[in-house]
Amino acid sequence: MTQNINHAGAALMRRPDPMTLTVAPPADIYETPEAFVLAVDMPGAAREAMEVTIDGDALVIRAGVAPRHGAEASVLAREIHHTGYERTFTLGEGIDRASVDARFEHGVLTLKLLKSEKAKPRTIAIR
Amino acid sequence: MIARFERHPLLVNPFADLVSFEREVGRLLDDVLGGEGSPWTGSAGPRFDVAEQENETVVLGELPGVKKEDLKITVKDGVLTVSGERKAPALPENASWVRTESAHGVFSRSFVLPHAVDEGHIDASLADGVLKVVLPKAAEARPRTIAIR
Repeated sequence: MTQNINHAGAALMRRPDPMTLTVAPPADIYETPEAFVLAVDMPGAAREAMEVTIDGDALVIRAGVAPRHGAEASVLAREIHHTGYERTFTLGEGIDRASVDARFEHGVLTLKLLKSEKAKPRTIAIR
Repeated sequence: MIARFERHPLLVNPFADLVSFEREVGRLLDDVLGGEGSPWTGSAGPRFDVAEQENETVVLGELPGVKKEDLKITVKDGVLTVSGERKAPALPENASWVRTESAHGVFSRSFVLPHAVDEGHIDASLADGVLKVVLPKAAEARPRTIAIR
């Protein structure tokens, strides 16, 4: 009986393609006088398959996650389902698209986007 | 089926009771304290997988931004407990938040282990925001092949 219910549940939960599930990772963003800094949570993201691209106004972050369990393993409890990350941010005009610094540490991708010269705050000298 | 339930309590009812209990307590605290505090306070905390292999059970947890020194792992009476803290993200001087979506704060998750564990050989590693705890089965819990006379 329990087994039947479990099977029915599994069938209901199944997604069209159970092999891939891409989620939008949460991000913290702060602004300094010189730059915007994005910190994106991507635990388990595979460095070699991590992509940060800027296309026009779109900053796109993509990463895959290596398989978590061996083929022989029987997963007793699964709360982590995703197999990849993808998120697009829209860049404003004041961002210098040529200078983006990226770091991946403790499962957090940190991007530093410098402001373009004209977008930086200026101090106007009083004559 | 009953025997199987006793052998693998996780299999039939993963964490339903524990998770809903944590959620309820979290909500209660949020109500009393006015909903302030970390996003993890009111949620079930970080997500975990538990997978059993022939000779070991592997517990994986997603802990982005959590440092090794802020994690504590204990095994007692057949229960693995992972607790720790993700510090709130730091804001440099002269900076201001545009948005904050990440979960942080203190958390604690406990897992009933499906078998006796060789406690001297538990291995835990933290890489790229993923905690992996490998719990080898105690000799008596490993599968044995019985020779037929």
